[in-house]
Amino acid sequence: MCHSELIGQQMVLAIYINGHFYLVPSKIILFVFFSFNTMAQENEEKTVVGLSSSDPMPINKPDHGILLVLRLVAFFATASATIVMALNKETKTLVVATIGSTQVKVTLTAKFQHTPAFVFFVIANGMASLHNLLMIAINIFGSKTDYKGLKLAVVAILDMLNVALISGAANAAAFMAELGKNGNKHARWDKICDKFDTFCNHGGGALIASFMGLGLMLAISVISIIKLLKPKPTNHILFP
Amino acid sequence: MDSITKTNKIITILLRLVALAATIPSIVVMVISNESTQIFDFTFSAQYDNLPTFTYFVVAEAIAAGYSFIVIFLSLKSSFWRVIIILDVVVTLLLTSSVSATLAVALIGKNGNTYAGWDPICGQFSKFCDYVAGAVSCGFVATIIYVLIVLYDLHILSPFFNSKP
Repeated sequence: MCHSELIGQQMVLAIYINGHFYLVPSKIILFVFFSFNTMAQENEEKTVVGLSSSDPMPINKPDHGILLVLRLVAFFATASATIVMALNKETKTLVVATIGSTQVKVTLTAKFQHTPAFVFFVIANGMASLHNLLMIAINIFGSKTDYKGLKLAVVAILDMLNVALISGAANAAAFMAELGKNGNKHARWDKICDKFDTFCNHGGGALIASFMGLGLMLAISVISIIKLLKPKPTNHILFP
Repeated sequence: MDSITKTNKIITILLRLVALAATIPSIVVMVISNESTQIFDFTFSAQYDNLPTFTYFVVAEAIAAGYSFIVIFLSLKSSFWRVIIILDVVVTLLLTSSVSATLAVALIGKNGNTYAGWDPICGQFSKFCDYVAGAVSCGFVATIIYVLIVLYDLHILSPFFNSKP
């Protein structure tokens, strides 16, 4: 059944199983032998010489294309939210009273700096778009740099932190906008959107973009965590 | 499933119990914070219902409390841990958003907004403001603990931190 030969300076075993001949190089026989030994001895340690599928140093192939596309769209969403809200400004001249024949006019401005929630919104979206840009750069250019899988851990943790940041900022700005749109009769706060409707529309658009960015960043964070917990198996054993 | 030792399980259950203990007071304090004052035969009252933001705060903290309670029992079985870590991220998101929104609106109640012509209301309703401040700080503690829970889960489950020889 077994017959060993020397083919081109490498020991090769010819095995006859169930009517078929198999030529197996000797290195694989040695690997299989060692793996059976170690698996028989220890239950806890699952390291197998050469056949491990959860290697701490995985070979970094270029990333799956879908993650890059998601990060690009999320970057555009958060960047546009920052820019639209940062340029949100409206000036309106209102006639307050009429004294005699002259009219008393008052110029009112609505800027995003008047509300601390909107300031937080602009800053947080700016930081998240910087984070997305950094992740895109790491995706494209950094596939060779790694230190025993630290890159996956750092990417997953940073993604999770930025998702929490964006969710806080988007929600605070959304409730502020709701207050400005509907007012609150219990606290005697008037709504301001009927006078400054361009301000409200631009703010609403920035909020929608930020929420879309939030949903995409949540999906990206989930994919990063899954990648961290299940690193790709290496396939260099078949070609020793 | 990889090696999740007994100490890991005990520490996660302890962390989730502390998070549960932080969300419940914030719900209770926010719900019982109603106050009515009388000025010139008019009765003004302030409740958490009057502002949709505070209602959202109560609902989000209630979801987080219920989730913590359920996961304490689910985490005893090892096969659920990968789903649990993703749900933890979602609940952290929910908690940070609720605390952030409530703080934004409560600051208007405390300082007012002169540009929009909104007056502060904390001068008349001081007990209401104090209770809301207490509830928000409890919610903030719960958020921090949830971030720690997610980081600890990543530490347990990732192969980088449990590198095998």
